[in-house]
Amino acid sequence: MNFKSTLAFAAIAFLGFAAAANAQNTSSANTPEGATIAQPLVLSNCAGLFFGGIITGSQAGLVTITGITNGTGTFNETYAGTPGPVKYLGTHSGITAPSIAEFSVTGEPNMSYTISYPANSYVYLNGNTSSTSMQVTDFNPVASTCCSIAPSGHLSGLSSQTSGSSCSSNGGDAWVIGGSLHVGANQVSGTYTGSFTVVITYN
Amino acid sequence: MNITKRISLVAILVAISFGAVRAQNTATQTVQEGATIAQPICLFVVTGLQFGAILTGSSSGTVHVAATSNSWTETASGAPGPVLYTGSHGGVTPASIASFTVSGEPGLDYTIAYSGPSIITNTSNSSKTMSIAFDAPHSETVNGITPSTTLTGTSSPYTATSTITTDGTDAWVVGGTLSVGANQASGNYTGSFSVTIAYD
Repeated sequence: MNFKSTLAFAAIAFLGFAAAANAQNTSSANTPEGATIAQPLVLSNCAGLFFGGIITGSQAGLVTITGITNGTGTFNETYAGTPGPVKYLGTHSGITAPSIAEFSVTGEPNMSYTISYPANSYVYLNGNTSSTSMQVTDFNPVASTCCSIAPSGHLSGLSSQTSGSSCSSNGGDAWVIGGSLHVGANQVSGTYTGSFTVVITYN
Repeated sequence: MNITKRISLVAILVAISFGAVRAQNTATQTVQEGATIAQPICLFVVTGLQFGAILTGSSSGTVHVAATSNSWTETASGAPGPVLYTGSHGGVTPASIASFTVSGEPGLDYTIAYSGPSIITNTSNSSKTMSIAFDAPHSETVNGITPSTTLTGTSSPYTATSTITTDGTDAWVVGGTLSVGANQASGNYTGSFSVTIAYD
């Protein structure tokens, strides 16, 4: 609006003589304002990555947990086999059962994010980092319903240690992460524990 | 508020809130992981079930190799059935109870299974056989290996459960009863039976 119309508008708007006098002392304009609100990105982890009871052998080998795409936190576990590690078939209590790591995400519908995870981590005998250990590698996210949240269908691998996804139209996403446990030849018996970190970031 | 003050206020607010803004753009979880390793279970046969030299008689009968509290005995049903040979002729496999040792993961339970009766066959005449019925496993020290205290199932001769001791070992023996026919054909009789142990 040019100066003259603004002035005329102000004159019509303020009919009183005091207001008319004010018109040239002040000026107003409608200024656009606004903001976009998005939901924070929240990551929940409702199950850990556990390889269960394993019988070691005279040869080193891998025990691998792999998620089943579009499953419900389900997974396959494979063993290198004799003379490498095999599955313990007994029922002794106190052995943590196998499970795949389960994750659910809440965030802004349809917004994309990256998932970062390490190249490797270690589990230590009795959780003691000075003690003997086994390496865990090949963390591999797979879309799956977890913690009662459905996957968005947009999970994809981007590079080593990075995957991409986006929240579904209702703001949720879910995936599992499996991995490979490196069991040594004649691995020392006992309970091994450790942890690894997963980070998600809007991008 | 004049515009200079307004700009300054916005600048300050942005500076203060930068950390808070980043936190809701990322989320982190520390994920637990683990596994349990156990040693394989292994069965070692130390001695077989041998009845030694037996004299047959005009009647059928039995010869029993039986475990005792820390050893074993051999008893024949006696004349006119089979009796034990008391001479010293060489070349005869001496009598012994079947004895076993186990290695494995301390504290884990396992089952012991074998089936019978089993047949031993005359090495010179395969049509001549004798049958052996097995006893239940019996806890005993074998080769210096101390047995566990949990061997059970002795009322069922052919299956039992036990536990690997804190030394990672276990030991037990199996006796049996040989059925000798009347005027059983002479010769060496041999055979074998399979014993399987498994973590359970």
